[in-house]
Amino acid sequence: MISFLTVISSLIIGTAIVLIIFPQGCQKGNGWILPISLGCGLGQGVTSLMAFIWMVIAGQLNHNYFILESCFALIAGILALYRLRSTTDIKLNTINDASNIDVQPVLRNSFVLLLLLTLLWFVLRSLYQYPHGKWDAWAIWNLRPRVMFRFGAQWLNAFSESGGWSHLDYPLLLPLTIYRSWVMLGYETVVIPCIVAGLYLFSTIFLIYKVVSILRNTNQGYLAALTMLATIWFLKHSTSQFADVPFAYFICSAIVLFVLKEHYTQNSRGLILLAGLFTGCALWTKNEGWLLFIVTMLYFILPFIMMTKRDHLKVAIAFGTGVFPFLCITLFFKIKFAPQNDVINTNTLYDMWQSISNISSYLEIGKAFLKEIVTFSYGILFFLGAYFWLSKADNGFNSELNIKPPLMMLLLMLSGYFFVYVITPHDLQWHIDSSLNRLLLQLWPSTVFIFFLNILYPEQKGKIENE
Amino acid sequence: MYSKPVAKSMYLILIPAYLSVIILLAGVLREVFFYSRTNEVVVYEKRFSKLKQFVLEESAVGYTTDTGNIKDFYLVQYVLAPIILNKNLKSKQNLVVGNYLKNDTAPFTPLIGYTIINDFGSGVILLSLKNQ
Repeated sequence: MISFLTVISSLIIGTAIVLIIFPQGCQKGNGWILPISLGCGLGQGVTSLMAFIWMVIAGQLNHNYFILESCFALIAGILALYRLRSTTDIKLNTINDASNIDVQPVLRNSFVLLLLLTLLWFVLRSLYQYPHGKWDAWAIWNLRPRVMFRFGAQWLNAFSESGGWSHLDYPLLLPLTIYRSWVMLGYETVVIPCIVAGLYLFSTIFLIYKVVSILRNTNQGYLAALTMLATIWFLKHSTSQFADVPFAYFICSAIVLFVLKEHYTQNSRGLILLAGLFTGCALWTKNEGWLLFIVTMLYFILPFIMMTKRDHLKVAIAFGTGVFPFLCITLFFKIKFAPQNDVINTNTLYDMWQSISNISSYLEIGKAFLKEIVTFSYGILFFLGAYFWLSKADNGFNSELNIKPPLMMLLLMLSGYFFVYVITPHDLQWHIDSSLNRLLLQLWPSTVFIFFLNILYPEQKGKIENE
Repeated sequence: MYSKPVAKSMYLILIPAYLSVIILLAGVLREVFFYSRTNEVVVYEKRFSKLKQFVLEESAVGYTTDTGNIKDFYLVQYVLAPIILNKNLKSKQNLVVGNYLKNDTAPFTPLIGYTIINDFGSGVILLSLKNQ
């Protein structure tokens, strides 16, 4: 139980930042689920960043740091409550006309029941079956905090070149979140990585439920969340304690915020600032975060910068402000601490050119992508395909705002992943076998979100049938 | 209530969701209550607990095994952290940890230039350079 206390301050900090930055007046109507599910991950990003800066400046995490963090949480919490009290509720510019539609008990009850059963499953599997996670967890993500914690004041030794086989260049959001909690507790415990993994799993489910509920209607939100609960591969992977589920959560959060921005017509720059923060968290979680950063820059920011209108420049500045602290610290970590990356730095330009001009590898990668997409999580896409066929897309929906931008972002990410396989210095088949399913998993929550955002909700379909 | 076609489409989501969660829960309950297999990291923690006391002061030790499985190397590294395990024995390490899994009862053939200084049982041995 005491282990839970170590994540409270990061939860308060994250939720408070979301409430403070969220557009004026829009916090109240959406309840607590949205800010908490966003704040859960953001808080871990911010506190791991603060802990890293403190460790670099002061030498190690100590009581002073935790006093500072607690004060920060307190001040942020008070400011958030003050902002919440002082604003009036503003109705969100939603896509649906279904605000007075009844919640279907079968959907609500199924969601609550399955969520509770999933929680029970998660606890049993995490604590009894895989308390240390799976391979990558004890080879990378849980090994790093363990080495740092056991070195104590000499935590820098954890980045010595002799341990280079353990991907020392991987960013530190997850390892530092665990390390910070262990230092706060004063001892190592497998409960902390389990709690962290659980927070990301359930935050992702609640985030998708809430945002789809806000933008479409509650029943559609339940269906989206139930789809996440139907994704066995996603649930199972959360207990592996890898960084892929947290990374998937950060991608989804950034996309959600970009979509929400289109529906908050006034003062929406706060949402872009938050999207910048979440993109920064993704950078600080996995190397694939660079791809998200580039894709975001390309798709959302460049058109804004190229246009001379003042508003567009302000949007770019808001995004840059959010991502800037994470970008700086990740770059600092890469330059000062991390050894070379095995994919990027071991390739010469000549090697890369050789790989790029090898057409047969494109075919091999293409086939692998197709196979993995079709078989993803026991063929869940077939169920979604059938659902789409029965329900149909919402034609009255503004695709310029709600489909094209996030879908393009996902496709660009997928293309980036494809290109990484093209230039890989490793054995291609081995690289594909060991990572492709996890890369698709990273994009899955965003895919579910976009799918349910753009499909007819049950009441709309019933109405069309009656007509 | 929804019309039949609408309800039908909803069951395309509901049924897989119920099936997934029930299958997962049944699997983990069976594992926890009937098989109770010990987690591999926990097994390694137990096997190397005695050896750990002997290498506490070291910053790095060598590693040798009779299996080519890289997974075993990572498991030993995780268990012995923060001591760095060195697979490459060309750079002579004073101490080498032996992880023998194929046959943990037969006498081990020590590495050339090394002598066994402690056999902790269950395939875990500690070797040291002969001139030490």
